[in-house]
Amino acid sequence: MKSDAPTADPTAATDLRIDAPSNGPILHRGSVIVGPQGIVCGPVHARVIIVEGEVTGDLHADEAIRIIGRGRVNGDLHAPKVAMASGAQLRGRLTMPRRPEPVTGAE
Amino acid sequence: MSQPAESATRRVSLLGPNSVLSGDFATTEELVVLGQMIGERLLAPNITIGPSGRVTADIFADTIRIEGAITGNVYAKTAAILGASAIVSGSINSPNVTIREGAIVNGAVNQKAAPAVLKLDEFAREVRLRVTGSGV
Repeated sequence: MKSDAPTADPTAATDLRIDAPSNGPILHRGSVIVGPQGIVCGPVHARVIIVEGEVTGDLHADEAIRIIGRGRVNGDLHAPKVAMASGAQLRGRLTMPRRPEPVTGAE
Repeated sequence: MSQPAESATRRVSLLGPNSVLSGDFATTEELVVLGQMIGERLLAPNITIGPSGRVTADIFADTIRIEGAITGNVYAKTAAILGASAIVSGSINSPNVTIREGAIVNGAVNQKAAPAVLKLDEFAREVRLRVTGSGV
């Protein structure tokens, strides 16, 4: 897999903060934070994605997606954990791995 | 000491943790589900699905709080609040959606479309029509 970071230190998974309009896909090893003024067009792949601004595109997180404050997402969310604040807006589908449920009755 | 005003206005229908209900259910009281419900529709002013609650049905209410498991679509006129233990397979339709981290959700979130509102008398007529063949 190609590294999108300019430095080749795999442990340096720093946060990427976006506070302005940004076009195109984002691939990042660490956390991506879309600030209140950030507007992202394109899919985002990261370990953790935090949206306080606006994203148009699908979000793929290895760990978690959090839509906080007045964050808005137009796209599908793929992550094991998703949190959404009451003032947030989402238009899309959530896909999360199901945890095994205890068997409640015989089929 | 009794509090008549409080108890008179806030009535609650409760399905206990060791109960199973098969069929549609509608009430003008608050609804708390701690057991299992399997049907097509569930209707109440406000609905709480407790951590032990398991519902297979579409759910209609003003405010819906979910801590248990739901297979079906959620229609909340005011707000849908999913706790950390919630498991939802189906769409969530509400202008205000809150999801706590830990909840497992598979389905669409729709905050633009006005959620379908089902009235108790319409619901009763439909159910009677389906069960007895007569809507009267």
